[in-house]
Order: sequence, then structure tokens, then C-alpha cells
Amino acid sequence: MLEEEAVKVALSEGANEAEAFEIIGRGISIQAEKNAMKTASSVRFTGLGVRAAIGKKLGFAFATNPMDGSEIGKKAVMNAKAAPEDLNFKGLPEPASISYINDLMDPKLRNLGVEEAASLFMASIEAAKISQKVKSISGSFELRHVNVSIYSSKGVNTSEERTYFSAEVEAASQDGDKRGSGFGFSDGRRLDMFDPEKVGKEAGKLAVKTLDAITIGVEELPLILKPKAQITIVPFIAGQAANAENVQYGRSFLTGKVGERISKDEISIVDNGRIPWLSSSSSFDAEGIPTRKTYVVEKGVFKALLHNWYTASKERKESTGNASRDHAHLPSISPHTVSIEAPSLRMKADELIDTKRGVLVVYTIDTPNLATGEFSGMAETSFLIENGEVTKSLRQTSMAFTLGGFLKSIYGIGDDIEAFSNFKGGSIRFIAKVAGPGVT
Amino acid sequence: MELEDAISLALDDGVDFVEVRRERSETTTIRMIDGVVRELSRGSEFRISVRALYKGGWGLGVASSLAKLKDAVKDAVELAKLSSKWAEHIEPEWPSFRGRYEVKAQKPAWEVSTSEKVELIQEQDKQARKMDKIRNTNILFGDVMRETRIVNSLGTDINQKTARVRLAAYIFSHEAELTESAFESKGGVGGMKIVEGSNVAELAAKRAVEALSAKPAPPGTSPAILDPKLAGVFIHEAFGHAAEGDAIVNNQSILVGKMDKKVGSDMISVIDDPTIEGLYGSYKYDDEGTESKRKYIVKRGLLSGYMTSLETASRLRIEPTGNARSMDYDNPPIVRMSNTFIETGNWSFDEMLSEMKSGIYAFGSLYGYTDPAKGQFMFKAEGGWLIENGELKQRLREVAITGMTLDVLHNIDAIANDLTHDPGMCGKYGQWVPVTTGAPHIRVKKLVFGGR
Repeated sequence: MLEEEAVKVALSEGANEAEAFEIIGRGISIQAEKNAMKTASSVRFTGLGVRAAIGKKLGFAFATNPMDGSEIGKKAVMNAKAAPEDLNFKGLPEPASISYINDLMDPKLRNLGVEEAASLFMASIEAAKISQKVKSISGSFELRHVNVSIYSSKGVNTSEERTYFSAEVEAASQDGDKRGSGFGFSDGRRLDMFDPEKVGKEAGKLAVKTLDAITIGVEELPLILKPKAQITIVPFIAGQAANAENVQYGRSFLTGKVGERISKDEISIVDNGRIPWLSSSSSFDAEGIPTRKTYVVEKGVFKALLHNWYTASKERKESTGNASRDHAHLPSISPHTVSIEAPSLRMKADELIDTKRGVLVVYTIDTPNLATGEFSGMAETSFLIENGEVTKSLRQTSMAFTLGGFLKSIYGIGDDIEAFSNFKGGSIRFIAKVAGPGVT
Repeated sequence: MELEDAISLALDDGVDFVEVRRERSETTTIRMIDGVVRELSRGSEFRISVRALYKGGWGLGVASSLAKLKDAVKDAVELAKLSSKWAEHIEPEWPSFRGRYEVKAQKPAWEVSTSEKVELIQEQDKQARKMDKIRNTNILFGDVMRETRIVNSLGTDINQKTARVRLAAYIFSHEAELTESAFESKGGVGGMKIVEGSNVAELAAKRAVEALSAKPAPPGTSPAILDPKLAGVFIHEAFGHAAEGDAIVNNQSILVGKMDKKVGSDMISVIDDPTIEGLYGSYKYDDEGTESKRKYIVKRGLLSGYMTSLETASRLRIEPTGNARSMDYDNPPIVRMSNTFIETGNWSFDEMLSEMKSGIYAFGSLYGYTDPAKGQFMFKAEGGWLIENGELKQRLREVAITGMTLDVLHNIDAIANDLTHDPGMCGKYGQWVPVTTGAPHIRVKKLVFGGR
């Protein structure tokens, strides 16, 4: 066992404590370009990352495909010897009792062959061809089966098998001089969560719908963010603004606001690491701490930070099980699956667009500013709403708001719930400012 | 099994082309937060990737050692044959390259002690923290040495050893209820001399403090002056991605069919040049082994070139430009930019400013992205200034700026003589590679600002 060997050698080289994180995996990648399959890849890998502590000095070393663990253990100790002391370092994680989730490894996904994976994905590419105007379809399909193990001199000794897929289809459309684009994506830990037809059709439909685009000027109006448009916004509140490291160092606009009211009373923001089959779920985090459900905001009040072992120890609190890492990096803090709970604001997704004039945002990849909590970004794929109907596609439209304003002006949350990456939820309607080059 | 044996084995299995890329890398990362070293890490990675082509379908297999190379060849060949069922056929009639390159590093990072690197970031941390109103300092040092050998069935045989260093500062300021931040970095291909004596932390700290007096930018259309950092990202996003050969071949770029057509004002030329010594995006050979070259993307307002890999060049019937790059051995090389920049002009920043009655001076780049198919892009400025009667009047906060690829180069009406390059990482299809974005100050007749 590489990890046991690494820890043993680290201790013999002078470390007081040592911990090894090992990931062994197999992966398949399928890439498609211009309606055809481009590349199929098969990868097998082993990654080992070792933390070694000498008193309050911490060193880290890693290797991909190491032949043995001892060299990595030695390097981690060498780095600890060269590191200055960190007075806030209170030791590596203690072992904890873990309740294992069954729904993280799908044997069908694990055993899927490359040919079956390719057929499945090419069906999605085919499904995007909904019109002659769809000229080019590209995309990627990734499948992973990993075994994550953590072993430490403190007694942590745990491992877990997980499967994961992600599929992304992009369609480009053309009609004379007009051009459009659309995409669809999906992820999860179970193969039957991937609906090739749905993902492909979504990309094709958006590509055609965005051909006829208009621009608008500067307006303040209802903005409806579809679930995919929230992936970089809602998880940001829990994962960055309420990230204990960012709060402890004073980087976040939420610093010093624990206990304060930061949203409407009806709203709670929850991070949950234990939802079956979601891509960010696991039984334990990257330090072997059990995952849990954490209310970051409860009924409008900022309640809790997301912690790893280091930040929790600093405040003499329990880790919330939000340590994340790969073998090549030290643990940081990441959210699992973040949702907004607000039963009294729940409505049908169709009701959300019942406004005289508004903007429906299907997708953005922009993030708020951590220090100020302000958001300024592009509504990458968006549509105008007029008299309760989605009418024209918009181009070159940006949107701006503050997260405080967002949380206090949420008018409704749709029942069109979807889950991707670190997010689960329905469409959200609130008030924001949009800016374009002027009405066309 | 040696790399040449892997080539023979794959050809015996009937593939049309095979390439073997052996990579070894060594990295160091040191991260200091508020004067405390929070990360001191070293890592090593080794893998061999085998890429095979069969009737237009590609297969990629990866081996963790020479002993396992045979399995990787088997994987690559099987996967290529499988891909060919859905692929578009191509004959690999491509040029081959032979050569050896070793980076000229002044004071190579791998020969410098860890304690000396720690001292370097301690000095940066002190620079930042000597200023008032600084709340949090984050200094990052990283170096990577990468050795590759690339051989293929057409006769290419390239040995390359390269090294990059980068020093970055992310500084937060605070006063009353306000917190602000700024980021600055310096990096390049070579040794420690690239970052020694740098003032990245001081620059970031100064701008973070200055930002405390900032107001939200006014939303809507405005004339603008962009600083070199922002103008560099602007050209990278607005034009660079749309001129990548795969986007052209796949009909996913607004620039399809626009070669030799007017895409901007006569004054603008855009170059991609991996051969400039020392820049963060520089390399001698790309990850297919093609020798890199300088090329114009836009020359005096005309679309003049695309960036290509072996396959995209062949499909476009042009010479390969040496722009096939991969993040690592697990990923196939795809078309990427290197050091992409706007050629220098004749104006000075002061002249541009003095002529502007009202507008926005936007500076510093946080990030940007584009959708080349629609020709729509966004880039985010760290901050700005409102300009009134040729003077910088009010500091502005972070703001998103949007534009359309085919409009925007026509709107540039002044280019300054102060070209600078800025290191960064560019992401595409999940692969991140080091690049530089570069430009002088530019003046744009109108851009859309997403302020409040």
C-alpha cells in the first residue's frame, strides 16, 4: 500500500504526524467535433499526496504514478523541515466515525466499455441535429471510476469507490449571415442520469433560438436565472463567501456577519454532501471527515461557515467536511451541493416569467466579486420576456447586482429543479440591472 | 519497450499515424498567507501518452512507465479504430521535425534552494503589508520544469526541456465596511531572474487600497481606453479564440470565410508568437513536435492567418503554425494561442487621455471568455476611472465589458506605443496552458459596460 508506506517513511524521517491521500482511477474520454467523433482516450492513473508535520511546520509532496510511497514521504518531510512554523497549525485531522453512503458508485458506469460510451455519446450529438440550421456539433463525454483512500498516523484509515460522468454538447447554427450557438450538459455519479437525447436536443434548440438576436439598452427589470445560470452564483455564496478561510482572512464581504440577517426571512442556503448520486456527494471529505448537511443561511440569518480541519481547528470548531483536493494539492474548502430552501417562495417555473418585461438567463459563467459581493457579468445565453412570453434572443447583454440585493429581492423559485456540479435548484426570479448596446 | 518500438508496434497494427510523447515534470509551489507559509509543496509526474490515427479517428492511451507502454499502444490503436466508425477521414500527409531545445534559464529554479524561494515571497509579503489598510496578503510562487520527447511515425523526433516560473500577489484592503482586492503577477520561461526584484505585491497592494474609493461603473455604452493588460485579454478573447484552426475547421467561428477580408481598422495588427524568448507562453516546439513560428492573425485590419495544429492545417490547406498544445499527457494536443498581442502603435497614453471628453479608462484583467460561434465575448476589468475632459476623475470598481468580434476591431481608433505582455493561464475544453496576453494602451470608440 503506497499510502501506508509513505506515512511510515515520513515518520521514520522525523515527522510527528503524516497523512497520505491516494487516488487510483480509470477514465474514458470521448471528444466529438463537427458532428463526428474525434478522439477516444483511456486513462489509468495513481496519484499520491503526502502531508508531513514536524511540530508546527508542515510539508507536502506529491507524485503521479509513483513506483513507491517512500520517496514522497521523504520529500514531504524535507519540505516540512524547510517550512517556517505556522502557529495556527493544530495538527492533522483526527479520525471520525463515518456513515458510508451507498449511492456513489454505479457498477454500470464503472464497467462501461469505450464502444458503449462512444455510442451513447454519439446519440447525443445526433440528437442535436434538430434543424438544417445546426451546422456543427461538438462535445465531450468523460467517465471516471476512482478509489480514494486516506491514511494517517493519527488513525484515519478510510477509502471509497466513486463513479462520475460529465457530458457536454455544443451546437453552432447558421442562417445566412446570422449565427447562433447552444449547449447542453449533464453530470452525476450514475450512468442512467445521462439522457443523451435531452442533452443533445437542448443544445440544438438553443442554437436555433439564438440565431435571431436583438440587443437592449440599460434597464432595471426582473431577471430569471435558469438553473444552469446559477452554477457560478448560488454555490459561490456558500463555497466562497462563507468559506471559512476567506472569512478568517477577511477576504469575504460576509466577514464579521455571522448572526446577521443577510436575506429574506423565508430563505435558507444549504450545503449538502450526502445527496445520493450527485457529482459532489461523498461519504467523507478529502481529509476523511464525514460529510454533512450545513445550513449556511437559516431563515435569513447567516449561520455557519464551511470548514476544513485547519480552519475549524483555528476556531476550535468541528470541520463541516468540506475539505477538497486532488493528490497534487493541499486541502482547500469547497461546497458540495448548494441549494436555496424557501418553500413559501416556490412556484411553477411558468409563473416566474409572468412579467410585462424581463430577461431570462439560461447561462452565465461569471462569478461575483468575493471582496465586495458585487456581480457584474454577461448573460451569455439570454432571452427577452415580453408580456409573459419568451420572445427574442439577446446578445451582448450584461447584468449587474449585489449578492445582498439578490438574496433580498428573490421573488420566486421555480419547480424546474435540476442538479449540476455544486448546485441543485429551480429557476430564480429577482430584480437586477441589465446593460446592452441599445435597443435594436 | 522504447518509444521507437511503440511506433513500430502501432504501425504493425495498421494505424495511419502514431505519436508517442514522454513527459516528466517537476514542480514547486509555495504559498504564503499573511506572512505565514501555508503551502510548501514539491511534486513530480511522469507519463507517456500514445496517440494513434486510423481513418480519421484518434485514440489516446497513457502509460505510467516504459514497462506499460505496450498496453498504452494497444489502447490507442483500439480506440482509434473505434473512433474511426464515427470520424471524418484524413490522410496524415504532414511535415516532420527533428530537433533539440533546452531552455536558457538564468539561475534555473531547480538549482535554487527552497529557503531562497521562501525568502523571495517573504520579501513580497513585506512590500504589501507595509501599506496601511491592507487586510490580507496572498503570495504565490510556482516553478515547473518539463522535459518532453515527441516521436511520431512521420519521422518527427523532438527533445525539449523547458522551465517556467511565476510569482503572483492577491492582496485585500479594508476600510470601514469596505473590502477590495487586486491581483498582479509576473512570470516567464526561464529561471529565477524573471521574478527576482519584482514588485508584484507592492503594485497589487497599491491598487487594492486605491480601490477603496471606487464606485460602481455606470452601465451602458461608453468610449473607453483599455490598459495593456485589459487590451491584451480583450484581443485574446475577442479575436484570438475565433482564429484558432479547430474553430474554423468545425465551422464554429464567426471568422469562417473571412480570410483576407477587412475585420478592423487599418491601424490594427494582431500577432501570435511563441518564439519570443522568455515570455510565459513561449516554446520552441509545440506538443506535436512542430517548430513554432510568429504569425499575423490580423495585418493592418485584414484577417491574415489562423493558428493551427497538424490536422487543422491540413484540413485548411495551410502550413502548420505550431499551435498544438496539451495541458499534460492525459490530454491530446489541441489548437491554442501562445503569446498573442496587438502590435504597437504611435500614440501615447497621455495623448489618448487628453483627447477624451468623457469615457472610461478600464484597467487590469480578472478574466475573459468568448463564444466564437456567436462572436460574442466578455472580459472583466479589475477597475477603472471615469474620464472627464481628459482627466481621470473617479475610480471605478470591477466591471464586465462585452463586445462582438466582428464589430470591435473597427472601433479601435488609437493604439499607443507602450506594448507590454502579461502572463496568464488560458482554458479550453478543460485544458489549461500558460499564455501571455499583450497590447499597448488602446482607445475604443464604444464598448458596453455592465455597471450598476
